[in-house]
Order: sequence, then C-alpha cells, then structure tokens
Amino acid sequence: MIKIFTVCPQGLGSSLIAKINVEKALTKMGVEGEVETAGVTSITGQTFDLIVTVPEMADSLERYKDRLVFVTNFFKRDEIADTLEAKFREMGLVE
Amino acid sequence: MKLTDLLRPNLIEVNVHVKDWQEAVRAAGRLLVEDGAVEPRFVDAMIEVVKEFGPYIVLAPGFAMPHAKAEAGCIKSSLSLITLAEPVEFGNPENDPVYVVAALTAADHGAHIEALSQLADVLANDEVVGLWAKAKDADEILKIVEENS
Repeated sequence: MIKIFTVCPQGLGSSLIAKINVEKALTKMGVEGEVETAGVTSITGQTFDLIVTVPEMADSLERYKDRLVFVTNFFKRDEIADTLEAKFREMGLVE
Repeated sequence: MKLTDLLRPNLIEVNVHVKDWQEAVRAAGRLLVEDGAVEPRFVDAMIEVVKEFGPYIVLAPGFAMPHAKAEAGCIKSSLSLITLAEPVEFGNPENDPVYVVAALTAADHGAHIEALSQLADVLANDEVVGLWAKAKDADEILKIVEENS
C-alpha cells in the first residue's frame, strides 16, 4: 500500500483534482494506494511515501525533495501515470 | 452533487473582454457574487492566493481555476466559467496563455468532490478547453460538458 498526498497551497481545488487523477492512474497501473489531499501547511507531521504537487510548491516542500512528483497538467492522466510509475521504480516501491 | 449543479447557466459568460489575469479572475468572480454564491470579499481572496503562491491555478493549457478557502466568503458551492475574447498571461510557463477561467467556491470538502471528479473527466479530453473557448453561449458550454461526461 502506497500512501500519497496531493498538495496545493490551500488543499482544496488543485489538490482535489490531482487526487482524482492520481487515484485513476493507480487503478490503471494496478497499484494499491491511498491518496489524500493536504494544504502546504497541513502536510507537516503526516506519514507518506510520496507527494504529488505543482512546481510552485518546490521551495515550501524542499525538505521532502526526494519524495516529490510535480505535475503541470492536472488533467493528463497518462502523463500523471507515467510520471508516477517512473518515481515508484526509482524509489523501489514497485517491481 | 453533479458538475451542472455547480456550473449553472447564469454562472457562464462567453467572450469576456479583460486586459490582464486579475480582471479575468474578477470577471469570473463577479458571476459568483451576482448569483449570491459568494460574498464580494471572496473575489479578492482568489486574487491574493495567486499573488501569494503563484500561477499554479492554471491547471492545464489555456485553463485556470481560481479558488479560495470557504472561510473567505463562500455561501454555496458553485463554479463560474468565462471564456476570454483575448487570452491573458497568468505567468505560468507551461500552460499560458489562458482563455478559459473557471472560479470555484466550495462550502465544504466533501460536497464538490463528485462534481470536480466529473470536471476531471470532461477535461481529460484535451480538446475541451479549445471547444469551450469557441462556444457561442452558455448552452453550448453545457452541451460540451454533457458530451464529455
């Protein structure tokens, strides 16, 4: 089970759309995971494998830089799936 | 709650003339205010979010979704949508210029997830933003939503 947070500054608009498409990407990959949304401040103290976010958040989330995935188009499911899969492999989360 | 429960016909305006991104956000916000969906201060809050965090609200090429927290003056969950007569730059290197702006207000976290999920389905077709931009009226915008849901 992979735990993912989608993070945007407020944790309600972009991160929710990201969550929806990350969930669809996981299903497509056949990877079991749990996806939650968070604002940039509420991520502190949470346990997770990966954060999916926007490039604007890079500085604020610098301390998690090994576990960040950036998306620039929130609606391109194939692109999100490819980016996630590459990161999962890099982190050794999938075979 | 379905997408069309949020995106009501009176919250859609096509071919709006604005000179910059702030005017574009205000124009989309004005529809929410006139509908009674938000207090006027919500519109200022949406602009402040972009000033503070950058143009991350440009979620896809040509498409921006300004929003702010419920506490900023949300009255009822709604989505307004405007198409711009001339596109504007938000400063997002990947997804500028923007020609469709949809302003979101959500009263709570749960209610709008189904509607946004439907929006994600609609926009998974990357031709939709271009089709919206060319739409002649609100009916045509909603027809595109229906055809891609």
